[in-house]
Amino acid sequence: MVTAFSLSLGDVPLPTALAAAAAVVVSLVTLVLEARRRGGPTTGLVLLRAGTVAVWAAVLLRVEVRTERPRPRRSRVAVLFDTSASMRLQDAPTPSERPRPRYDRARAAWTPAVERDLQRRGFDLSLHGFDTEVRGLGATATDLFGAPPAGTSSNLAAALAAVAGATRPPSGLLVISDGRVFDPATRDALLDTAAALGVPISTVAAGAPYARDVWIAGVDAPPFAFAENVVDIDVEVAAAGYESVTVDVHLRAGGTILETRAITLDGSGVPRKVRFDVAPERVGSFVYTAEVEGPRDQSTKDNDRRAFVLKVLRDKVRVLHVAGRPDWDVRALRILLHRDPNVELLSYYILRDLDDILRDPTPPEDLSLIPFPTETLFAEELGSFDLVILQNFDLFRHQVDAYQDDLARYVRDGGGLVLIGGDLGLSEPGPFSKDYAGVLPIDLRRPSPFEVRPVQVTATPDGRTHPVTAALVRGIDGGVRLPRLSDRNRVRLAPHAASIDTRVLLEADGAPLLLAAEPGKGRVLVLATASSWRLGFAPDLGFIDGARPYDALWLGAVRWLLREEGSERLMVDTDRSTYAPADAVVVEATALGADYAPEADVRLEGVVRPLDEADGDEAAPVERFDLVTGPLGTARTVVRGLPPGAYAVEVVRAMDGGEPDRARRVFLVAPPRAELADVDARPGTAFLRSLAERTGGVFADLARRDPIPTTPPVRSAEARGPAVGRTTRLWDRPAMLLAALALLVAEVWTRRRRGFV
Amino acid sequence: MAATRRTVRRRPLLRGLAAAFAPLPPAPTGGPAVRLDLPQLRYDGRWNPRPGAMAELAREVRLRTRLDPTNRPSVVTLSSNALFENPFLYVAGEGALPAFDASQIERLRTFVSLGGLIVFDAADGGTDRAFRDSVAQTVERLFAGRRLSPLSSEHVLFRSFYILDEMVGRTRADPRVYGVLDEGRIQVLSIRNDLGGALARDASGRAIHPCIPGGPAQRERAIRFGVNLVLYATCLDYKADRAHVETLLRARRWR
Repeated sequence: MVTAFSLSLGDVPLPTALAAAAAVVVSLVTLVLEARRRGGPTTGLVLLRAGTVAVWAAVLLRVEVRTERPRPRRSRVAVLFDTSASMRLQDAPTPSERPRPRYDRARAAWTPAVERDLQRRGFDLSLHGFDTEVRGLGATATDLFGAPPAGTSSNLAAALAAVAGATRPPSGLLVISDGRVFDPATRDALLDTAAALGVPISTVAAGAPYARDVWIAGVDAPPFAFAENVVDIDVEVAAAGYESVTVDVHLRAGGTILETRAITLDGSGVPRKVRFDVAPERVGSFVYTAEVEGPRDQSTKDNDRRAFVLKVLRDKVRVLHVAGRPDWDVRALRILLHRDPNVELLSYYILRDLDDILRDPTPPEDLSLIPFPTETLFAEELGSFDLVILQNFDLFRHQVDAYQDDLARYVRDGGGLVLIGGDLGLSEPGPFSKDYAGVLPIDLRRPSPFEVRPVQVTATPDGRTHPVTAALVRGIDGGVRLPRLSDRNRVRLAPHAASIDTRVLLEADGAPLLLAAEPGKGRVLVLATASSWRLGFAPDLGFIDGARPYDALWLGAVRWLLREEGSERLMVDTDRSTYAPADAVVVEATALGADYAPEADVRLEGVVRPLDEADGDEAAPVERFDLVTGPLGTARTVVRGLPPGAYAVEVVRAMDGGEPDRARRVFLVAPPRAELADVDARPGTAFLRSLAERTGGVFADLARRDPIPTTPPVRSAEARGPAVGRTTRLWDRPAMLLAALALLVAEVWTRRRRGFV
Repeated sequence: MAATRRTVRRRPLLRGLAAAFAPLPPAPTGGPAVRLDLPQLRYDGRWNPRPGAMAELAREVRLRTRLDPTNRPSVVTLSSNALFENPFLYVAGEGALPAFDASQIERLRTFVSLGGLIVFDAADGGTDRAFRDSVAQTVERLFAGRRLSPLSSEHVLFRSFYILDEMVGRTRADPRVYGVLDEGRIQVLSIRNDLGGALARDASGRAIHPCIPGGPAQRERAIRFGVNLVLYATCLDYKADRAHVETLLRARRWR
C-alpha cells in the first residue's frame, strides 16, 4: 500500500518556469474567451485544453512523481532436515500400523502446501540438510527427499551453530528429525548450546514409538590374531519390539560361514553377547563379518551385519634346521632361533655317521640318537616348513640329494632356504640337479673350497639397503667394528644369478660371503662361512640397536626370508583401515628394487575389489587405476565414493620374464553403525520436545499426526525494513508526448465538429 | 604355507634307518675342516692337574661322533683375547682357585653373557672342598645373587649323545653336576668327580688314574659323560626337542 506521494519539479530555470506558467494561463484564458464569444458548451474543450497544457507543463517543468510504501514484515526461518541414516529406520505410530521409514513420514508431512503456507504467512525459508555436516539444499521438497538418507552421524550442534552463525542469522529454526542426534552423556550440554543461540527452535519428530528390529550392536575382536591359534570374537546382538525372538548369528570369512550360533533375545534393546572361537589358518589381513539373521518384519536390514578386519600374524614359524656337523656356529644359531618364542624349531643334527658306528659299536639303546627321517623331512613334510636351514650339511652323504628337486620346488613355491657354508656343505662336488642349482645364487658346478684363515667382513652397496643387512651396515656406519671371521667358502656367482635377482650383500676379502636371491616366489640366502658366530662373540663387541651384530644379521635374514612386514619389494597401504562412506581412501604403493632401494618410474596397475563374496578374489573390480612411482619409490591415488563394504586394493607390477609381483591390502567402508544401532525413537522424540520447550519453539510429533508448524515462533527483534520508494519522471516518458498529441488531436476534432475554425 | 603337521611315522623311519646304513659317498676330504677347540684356562695355581685330559676328550669325541675337535686343545688365559676364540672354557684345578681380580671376573662375565659355557672340573674328586668352594665363590661374584645348583638327572646333558643317569669321573663322590642356567641353557657347570682324571692317559695311551670304585666300566661312563658334555656345548638342548623325545619314547629308550 502506498503510504506517501509527492510531486517535484525538475531543475528548470526560473524564467522558463514563469514563461511556461504564463503560457498555460494565456492558453486557458484565450480558450475561455473564444468559447464565450462563439457561445455553446465549452467544458469539454476547456478540459481538453487543460489536459494538453498540463501535459506540456509536466514535460517542460520536468515533473517527477515519487511514491513510497513500507517493506512487508517477513521472517527468515532455517529448516534443518535430518539426513542421517537413522531416518531410514522404519517404525509405526501404533502396533497395528504398517511401519514406514522415518524420512518417508517426514516427506509426507512436508508438502508443497506447507511451504506455500509458510511463505504466505511471511516466512522466508532456507532449507538445509544435516548429518555429519550441514549443507544447503535446493528450494523444494523434491530436493530434500531425492535420495534416502545415508549420513553416518547426526551432528545437530554443528548444524545449529553453522546456521545461526551465518551472516544473516535466521529468526527461527525448524528441525525435522527423529531426534537421534545426541549422545546421552551430552544431551543437556546440547540443550544448553541450543538455548544459548537465542533463536526459537521448533521441532518436528519423525520417529514413531513402535519398531521391530534385531541388530548387531557391536563386535569385540582383537586387532590381530596368531595363525592357528584360537581367538575369541564377541558379537553383541540386540532386539527391540519383540516379546522374544530367536535368531541365528553367523561369523563369516569372505563368503564362507565359519560358525553359526543361535541366540534368544528379548525386546529390551539390551545387547547380548555371542562368542565365536576362530583359529585363522593363514597369515594376512582378512575381512570377517558378523551377521544376524533377523525376522523379515524388522525395521531395517542395514544393521544386521558388521564387518571387521582381522590381521593374522604368524604364531609359530616352522623352521627346519639341519646341520651336517655340530659346531660353535650351530650352537649360536640354535640359541638365536630358540630365543624367539614364535619359532617352532625342528632340528636334525648329524651326530654320528657310519664311520663313527664302526669305530664305536655302542648298542643303540645306550644312545639317544634317532634316524634322520629324510623322506619325511624333505618330501612329505617339506611344505609345512616356513624356513629350511641347511648348515654345513652334505646332501649326498645323507641321501638328501634325492630330494633336490623337492627343495627347488619348495623354494619356487614360496619357501625360504638358507645354505650355510663349511667344510661339508658347500664343498660337495655334486652332481646337483638342474632345478636345485637353478634356485641357488652360487655356482654348483664346482665345489666352493673351504678356507680356514681370518677374513674381514665388508658390506657391499646392495647390502646397505637390503633388509637382511641394512641394520648390520647401519651399525658398521655407526662405528661398530665387526670381528674377523675364521673361515669362508670361496663361492662364485651362478651363471643364472641375475635372473633370480641375486644380490651380494656381504663380502670377505673381496669375495661374496652373503648372497640373497629370489627365485620364483621363494627366497634363498647363502652364507659362505662356518664362523658367523664370531659376529656375536668377541670381548669388545659393539651393539646395533641393542643387538649383537650376529643377532642383527640373522634377525634381518629371518624377517626377509619369512617375508615379514616391511621386507617385501612391492607394498601397498591405505591411510586407514576403516572409512566412512563419504571418505576418500588414500592408497599408497611403494616399489623397491632388487637391492631394496626405492625404485622410481615403476608402472603399477591397481584395482579395488569388493570382498563380500568368495573372499573377493573373483569379484569384479569397482575401481581401476594406474600408478607410476616417484623418486622415493612411492605413488599415490585417491579412491572415492565406495559404498559400505569390505574391499581389497591390489597393485601389480609386471616383472621381466617372471610372475608379476603383487601386493594387497584390505580395508573397510563402514556403514553408519551408531545411527542404526538402536531403533527406539522415543528418546529422540523426547529430546526434540525438550529442545522446543527450552528454546521457545513449538513441537510437533508426526507419529501423532501433528501437522508441521506453519507459524513457528521467531525472534521478536525481527526489524521492519526501510520503506520502499519509487520515483517516476513524468517528463521523460514517451507516453506524455503521445498524450499531448492525442489531446491536441481531440481538441481540433471537437472544435471542427462544433464549427470552430 | 599350509602347515600339515604329523609326527614321525614308522615307514619313513625305517627308510631313514635304511638310508643311514646304505653305502655312503665319501665325506669331503682333502681340505681344511671346521674344527672345534676345547680350550683350557691357565691361571696362577694348579691349573692343569690332569695334563692331556682335554686332548683325550677331543680324541674320544672325534672317534665316537661326527664332531671334529682339534687334536691339541688350546690353553688360554683370562687376559688374552684367545679366551673369546671359542664359547667353551674348561677350568680344572686342585685346591682353591686364585682370587680372580675384578677385571678377570669381568672378562668371565662377558664370556658367559655372550653365550659361553664354563666347565669347572675338580681334580680332587670330592676329597677336598677347597676347589669347589672357590668355584662357588667365583660363581657368586660372576652372577650376583645366583648360585650353583644341582641339575636334574633328566637334564638334556645326560642324553645329549649317550643316555646316562649320573655323572661319574675318576671318582663317584657326587653323581650330580651343578650348574647356573640362563633361559634353560647352562652357563656354568661344576663337576666334582674329576672328569679329567678319568680321561687322562699317558704317552702310551694307558689311563693314568684308576677309576674308583667302578674301574674300566666307570671310565667308559666318564668318557661318555665327556662326550655328552661336548655335544651339549655344541647342540645345547637339541635332544630335548619334541621329535627326538617322541622317537626315543617309542623306542623305549627313555629313562
